[in-house]
Formats: sequence, C-alpha cells, structure tokens
Amino acid sequence: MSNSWSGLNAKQKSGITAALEALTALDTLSQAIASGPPAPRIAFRDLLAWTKGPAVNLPIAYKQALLANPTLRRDFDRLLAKTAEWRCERAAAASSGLLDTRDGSGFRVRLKPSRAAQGQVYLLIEFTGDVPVAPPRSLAVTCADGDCVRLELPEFRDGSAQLLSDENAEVVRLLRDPKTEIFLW
Amino acid sequence: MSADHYILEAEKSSELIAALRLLAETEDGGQPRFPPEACRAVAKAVVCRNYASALHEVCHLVRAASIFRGGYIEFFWAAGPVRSSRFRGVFGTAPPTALFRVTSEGITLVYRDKPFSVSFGRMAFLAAMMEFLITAIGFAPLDDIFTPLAQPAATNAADVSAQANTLSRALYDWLKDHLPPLQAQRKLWALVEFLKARGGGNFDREAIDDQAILDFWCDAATAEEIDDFRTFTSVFLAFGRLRQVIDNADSLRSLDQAAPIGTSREDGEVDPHEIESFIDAVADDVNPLDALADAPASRIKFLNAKEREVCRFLFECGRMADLLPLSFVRSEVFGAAQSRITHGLRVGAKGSLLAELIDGSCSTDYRGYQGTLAEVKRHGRTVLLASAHIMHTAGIIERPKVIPLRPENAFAPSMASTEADAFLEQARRAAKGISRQGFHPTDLDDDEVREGYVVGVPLVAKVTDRIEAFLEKLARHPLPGGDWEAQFGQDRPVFTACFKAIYGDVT
Repeated sequence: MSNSWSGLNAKQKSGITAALEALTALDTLSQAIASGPPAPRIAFRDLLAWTKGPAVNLPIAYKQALLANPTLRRDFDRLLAKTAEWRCERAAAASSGLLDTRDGSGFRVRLKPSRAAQGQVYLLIEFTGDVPVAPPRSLAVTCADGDCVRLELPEFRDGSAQLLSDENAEVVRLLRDPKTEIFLW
Repeated sequence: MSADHYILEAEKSSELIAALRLLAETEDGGQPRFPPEACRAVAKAVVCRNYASALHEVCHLVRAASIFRGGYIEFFWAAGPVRSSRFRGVFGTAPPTALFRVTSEGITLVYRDKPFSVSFGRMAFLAAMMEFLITAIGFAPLDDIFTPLAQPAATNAADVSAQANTLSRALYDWLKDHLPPLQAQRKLWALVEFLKARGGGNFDREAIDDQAILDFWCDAATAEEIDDFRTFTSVFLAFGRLRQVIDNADSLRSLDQAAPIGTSREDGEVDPHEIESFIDAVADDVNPLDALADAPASRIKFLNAKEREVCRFLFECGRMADLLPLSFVRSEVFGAAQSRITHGLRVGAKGSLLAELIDGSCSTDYRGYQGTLAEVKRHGRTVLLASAHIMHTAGIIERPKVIPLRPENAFAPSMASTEADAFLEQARRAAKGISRQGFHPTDLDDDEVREGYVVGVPLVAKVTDRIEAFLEKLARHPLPGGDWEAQFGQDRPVFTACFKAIYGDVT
C-alpha cells in the first residue's frame, strides 16, 4: 500500500463501505452458524420423506413442530394437496357428529364394523366415478391439531379396496372426525 | 441497557442463521447433502443480495424438471448427496423432450423468444439455493411461483423471468425481516473516527493493530449507542476486514456510490455482483476443512469434529490471523469466554451466578490454546504417515513416487532404499495406532474411499502446514507483555472488567 485514509478517493471510501458491510455480515453469519442456535429439527425435507416413506403415524416430534410452526403446517398441507391425486375436504359445518362415510372428489371412504371380529372395523375405499388406471397406494388423514396418519393401501379390485383395522386405531378415529381431511395418492 | 437487549439483538437473524445452518448440516447417506462451497456460496449471495441471477437459473431448472416424474420436488429432493455429477446423470438419461437440449456442459432450455442455459457445474449450488428458499420462504409460496413454470404454461423465457422476479421480491421481503441492515456506514465511521483520532486526523493500514482493536472494544462494548461491537470477535473481524479492504481499495474504483448494496441503480445502490467479485478477490482460498468435510475425502475421518473445531476459526480468518496474531488469539480465548457468558445469560444466569460465570469464563489461556492447536497438528502428521502406509499397501502409491506428504515426502526418487524402508516402517506404526473410519484395510475395497485418500491427503497436509506456520508465527511474534503467559496475565483483568461492564448490570 500504503493507502492512507485521507489518500483514498470518495469512490474507494464508498466501495470500502459496501464491501465491509458484506464481509462483516458474512463473518457474523459464519460465526453464528458455527455456534448459534441449532437448525430446526423438522424441516420440509423431513415431511416430504414421511410422505414417501413407510406408512406410519406422524412421529410426535413432527406433530409438535407442525403445531408450533404454522408456516410448516401450511407447507405440509400444500405438500399433501400437491402429492395427492384425490382429496376429501373437511365435512360441512353441520356435520358435528362422528361419521361413518366420507365423500371425496371421486371416491368414498366407509367404515363398517366387522361382524366376525368384535372391535374391528373395515375401511372401504371406493371410487365413485371412473376407476383410475393407476389406483392410489397411500391414504393420509390429517387434522388441524397436527394429527396425521398414513396407510399403505392394498390392491384395488373393481375400483375398491378394503382393509381391517382396530376400532380404536388412530386412523379410524381421524376418519370419523368431520374436521379431518383425507388424501389419496 | 439490559443484557436481554443484547440477546434480542443477537437473535435478530436467528431464522436466517438457522436456515443456513440447516443447509450446512443436512446429511444424506452419511455425507453432507450439499458441498460446503455451495453452502458458502448461498450465504455469500444472500448477504451480498446478489441472488437475482441464481433465482433466474433456479426457475429455468424448475421448468426443465417438470418433464420428470414428480416434477421439481422429486428433482431437487431425490435422495443422495447433491453434486453436479448427479445432475449430469439425471439429464443424461432424460426422456426426449422439446423443452431443452442436453449439451456436454449443461442444458439449454428452448423458448420462443430466446434460449437459456444452465450448466451442470451450477446445479449443486442452485439445489442448495432451493433448499435455502424452502426453509426461508416456505414451500407453499414457492409452489405458487413454480407451478406456472411447468410446461406448457411458460413458453417464453420472459415468462420465466417474470416468475423469477416474483421470487426475488419474495426473498427480498423475507430478508428485510431476517437480514437486518448492518448499518455499515455507521460501523465504518465508528472505526474510522477512532483511528483518525488516534492518528491525528489520518491513519493507514498499520494503525490497525492489536492495541487499537483492544482499546476500541473496551470503549465500544459498553457504549449505549453502538450495538455492533459488543463482542471482541466482532471488533477483531471488523478491523481485520477493514485492513484487508483498504489493502484492496484500488480495485474498488468502479464503485462510485456511497449507498447500500442492492439491485436498484436508480436508488443509487451498489451493484451486488461487483461487491461479490470484490469479496472473492479479498477472501482467501478454499477452506481445506470444507473440502475435507465433502466427499470423497469425508469418507475418511482424517480429523474429527473436535479437531476441526479447534482450527475452524484459523481457516475462516485466513490472512487476518497473520496480520493480527495477538488479536486473533485473544479472539479465540476471550471470544469463546464471551460466548459462554452469553449462553449463560440465555439460560437465565444472573446475579452471583453470572459473576461467577464471568470470573471463570476462560477455559484456557494463550499457551493452552496454542497447545491444543499443536495437538491437532501432531495428529495431522500422524494421519499423513498412516495414510502413506495405507495408500502404499493398497497400491494407490508406489515407491519411489513423490506423494504430497510433508515432511513425509519420503517417496522422492532420490530417497535411498533404506530411508524408504525406515519411513514405511514409521508409517506402518502410525497406521496401527489409528482406528478411525476409513483407516481399516477393508475400507479400501470401496473405490470412493481410495479416491478419498487421493483427494484428502493433500488437504490434511495443507491443514497441518498452515497450523505449523501459524504456530511458528506466534512463537516469533513480539508481544507487549513479553511472552504469551505474561500477555494472558495482562489481558485477563482487562477482559474481565469489560465483561462485567457489559453484562454485569443484570440483577
């Protein structure tokens, strides 16, 4: 150099200001990333992986994250809506009791107690219009309070599939709840 | 001013930090999902607000991805580490489409008005940018922007540009809340006025020395009106950067507006692209620790997390550490102490507990820090020796070939056979003492591990050489206190008094 401060012209001084801003911001971020708050435990990619992974109830940590973070909840709803090819929205406000039948766009879900096995219930998924060439393999039921269950569906025959579940299973509870939404893909 | 205030200030950017941290920490198959240099490039683009062109590329890539099953979601979030080679493979096997052409360098999207190219080399960075956008802005608003890009909605490049501009505005809005204006001019003038006052109205780079930094921090840390200089590390970095920037001032002639960084020339904003280019010129080489954390070198645990952490700041600071070695060591020792105090405040320490925290905040002294650094260097040398044995045994290197190990350049053609034998025996013994991932003989059955040695060994040599050179510099560095023990003895009461002045009013 030796560039003395008073020897710098106005252009250089203004450039120094902008460059210093960016450099110090980058330094500050680097320091904070190395020692700052941990990254969010549940991120979009985790929710995406859950929609594609083995069917299970939504883990507790995911439910807590969805309850605590409305933005994540919004993104999860959008992800399910985008992933699903068929959807059943919340039942009308008048439907305050528990439901045995849910009517979605082009399909119906019925809950039918098993006569043979006490405490068991059949979940019947039926297409009410055209039977799709590639029927869905997954069913998810979501509730605004963060609950969510996903099931792998058995093969469809003549536009319908059925599976047996425990009467007290979470999926049964959620399907009966008029405030839940159902997604098929 | 209360300590709570300082905590709030520090957490202003917490969402931005968390988003960038998520990017850096996300792993896939035991490896970083994104290359470390891509993560840093995202941070740099965000800070310099130089993201417009990247977001254009992201939008074009989203359009190209619409031909694949699952669209852009599957394209960007498919399992496995994100590297350019992966995208080359994906597009190399893409079904025939009128949407784009695949070239040796990348893809060229075809539009009615004009084509647009995205290179394979950029795609890992663009995927990292996409991950950052999802975390920052959220999926739903992004999906609103991306959905119209799927064919055949957008048939002109201009349609894609319009969506990219919407995306830029969305990020700009998000950053308004999460990347608070840094008051750079105020910050700079605080430094400049301080230096001018010490220098009788003028100063040059030499005036930015260790004593100036400590004196400034002692004044500024407790000043009501300046929040930017609360931590010693922030003051060290600000002065260090100022010194580097002044050194490079000649290359800033093209910047002629004293204004914030932005994209609006009408508003007199400085071109972010020029600033980013300047930073590239000022900033140091690729951090070898970043490269070690990336595949294929990451397949071998040359350095563990603790060892990397010990020398992380040294590599982040680059030349600044050589320019201001005492301030650097002060920052390592007392900066860490200050972090422990602020962490204590975060978890509710107050009163006598806080006073105890301040008094006992130093976990080491200057000699102790150098000793820890020397241990990492010694470990690095042992790892190099062990690597020589493993590479030789696995047939990756053949004596008497030269390999980039120092001081273990033992395979030089001039080496006598007995010397080589002695070296190989030393290397064998070193390998016997290491049981880390990648050092087991069967690990070498994996081609990527073999490649990891070829890539990683020069990086470990670079790390150990750098530490050794810096430790030598510290040993020779003249200190106002005489030696490092005496210097620590002088500095400790100064820092303790400042910490008490900053945080001691908490009751």
